[in-house]
Amino acid sequence: MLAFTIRRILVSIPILILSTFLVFLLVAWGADPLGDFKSKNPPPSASEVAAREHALGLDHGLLVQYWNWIRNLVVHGNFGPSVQGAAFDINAELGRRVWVTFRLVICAIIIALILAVIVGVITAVKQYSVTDYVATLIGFFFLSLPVFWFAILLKIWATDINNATGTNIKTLGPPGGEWGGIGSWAGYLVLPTITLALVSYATWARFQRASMLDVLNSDYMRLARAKGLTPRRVMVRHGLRTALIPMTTQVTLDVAAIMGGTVITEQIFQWQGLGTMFLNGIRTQDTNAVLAWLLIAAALVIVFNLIADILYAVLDPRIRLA
Amino acid sequence: MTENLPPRDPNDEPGEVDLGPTPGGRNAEFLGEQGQQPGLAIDAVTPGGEDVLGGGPEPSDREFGVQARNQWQLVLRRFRQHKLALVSLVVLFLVFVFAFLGPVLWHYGPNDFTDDFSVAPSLKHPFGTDSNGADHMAQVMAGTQLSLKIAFVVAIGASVFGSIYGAVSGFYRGATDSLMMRLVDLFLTIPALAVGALLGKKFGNNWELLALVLAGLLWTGSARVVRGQVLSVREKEYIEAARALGATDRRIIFRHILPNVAGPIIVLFTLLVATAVLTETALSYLGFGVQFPDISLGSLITSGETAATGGRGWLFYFPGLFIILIALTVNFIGDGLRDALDPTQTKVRA
Repeated sequence: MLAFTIRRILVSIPILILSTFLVFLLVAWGADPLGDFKSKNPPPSASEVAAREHALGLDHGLLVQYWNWIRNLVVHGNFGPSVQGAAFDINAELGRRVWVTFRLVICAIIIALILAVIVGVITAVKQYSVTDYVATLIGFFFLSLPVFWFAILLKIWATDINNATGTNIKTLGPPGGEWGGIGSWAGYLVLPTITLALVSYATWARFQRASMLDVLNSDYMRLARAKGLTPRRVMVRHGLRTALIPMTTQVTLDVAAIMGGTVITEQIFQWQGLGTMFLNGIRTQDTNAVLAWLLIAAALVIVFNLIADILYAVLDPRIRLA
Repeated sequence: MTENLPPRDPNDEPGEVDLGPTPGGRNAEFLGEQGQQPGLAIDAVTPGGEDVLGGGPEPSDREFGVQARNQWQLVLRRFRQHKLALVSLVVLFLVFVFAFLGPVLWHYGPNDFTDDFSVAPSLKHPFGTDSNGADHMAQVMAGTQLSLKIAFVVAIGASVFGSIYGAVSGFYRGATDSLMMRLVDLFLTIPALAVGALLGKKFGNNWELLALVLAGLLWTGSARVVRGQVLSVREKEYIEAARALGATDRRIIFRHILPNVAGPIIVLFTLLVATAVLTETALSYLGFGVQFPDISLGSLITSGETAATGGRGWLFYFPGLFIILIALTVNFIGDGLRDALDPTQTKVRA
């Protein structure tokens, strides 16, 4: 087990390094950090532009730039200067915003997971029943829903509900990250959580249904019934336990994608999390901020892939680690 | 009496029915088969079963209209039994007509300003107008057209490239395969939406380039699935036969392997269309996709968002409705195709 884990970690390292390089190339190609500066009116002189380039280290070749960036990151743990001014410290921002995004995501994941397992199991047990068809239809609908549109729709509905009943569902995130008491805490979370949860729910419920169907048709389930176990015990102890294994790895893999995919939800509900930092980074062509976000997203994918692999090996006794 | 007997399972291969004229005539033969399975009522009609026997009143007088169906006819038959997919196909076709024929027929253009400012939907303006007096239905037509164009270019580009990539990787195996698949892993570490936003900001003023960027981000799924399929297909006897006949690698990949993994490729294609529509509209909504003066359903929602909070909901609901229509119908069609293309799929289950 330990050897497997170590080998798996060692394989991840070159992928992470290559990933940083790919990300760096993409950002260098896609963004011009001096774009705003150059398009100023009156246009800055050539020497001013050159001075700026020198200050940001852009006067070197691409490979040298990459080397400087990665060395600065590894040796000093520093993501580099921002073009959004000295007050915007990328490292400090990351540290603060990662928790905002985490709080946003964690509730959604838990809710989506519980719902998906329940619905997935029920629809598998009652395959081809009306319940199954209705749940599948609803799932398809959520899969086809544009997240940004749905989020705005929720905001409109929440405003109507607030006006009608005097409740206080917040349509925008906490300003400056201040949360207040538990009541206002829930008020902030409800809309973005619904948005994020429904999309993941749809995929996961289908996955859980397929995985449960696989198990239901297996021989040991028939044996368990033949032994005279109660149907409930057969389903939960023998069926669900096995059917949860593929689900666990799938969810682990998706968590990284969800963390990276909160960009739209954060933008619409105005949460000062990682996603809005990324979008502002693109708007201001702040290459270092964009790079920092992409690097974290890539690292998350790699780490969660690793966790999924290990979890799968731990949970499924059929997997032998030779 | 039993002329209308359908096959017991719509998925029965034609070969399972003995086509040769038997002395006792068709009916006798079928009765014999039924006789071995007393549990089956002779006139039972299976769902979606067809009158394959021709249903003539005097069956013994004429040849039976049963002919061997090729694979695609079978697929078509099974697809037709998926009612939701069939309805979706019709709806999607109507959306296409609306988007491509609509602008030709409709007497307002998306940038024509009328004297009706912020008018709610009416007969004159079925989707209402915006605050500049532009007809919203014309705008939605233009937006749907561009979003559809981008989605299909993305899906075609990504599935063609992904399929060839996956086929080559799976066909050569070994070091080539490892290298190519590690490259896919590398691509998968980068969130498509984020890179789409980054590059869309640069290329968004040209929709063809934007589509190319999105295709470049979404091809990995097809590559992985096709590779997996190719790994098993390449061991089949007919591949060995082709090689024995002296076929080149390229010929084997394009003429023998890819056509035999067409099923998953087609299903993935439909899923890609849905993903592409949702991604493109999301990017355009954020301002990193299609840019003015081009109109996408996503950029319409950007302007509709504020309008909706001001009580002019039609500017927000209609573009969203069309995004859902496209994504939902395409997903249903994909689901129907998946059922139709899967040879192990049977409708009757124990």
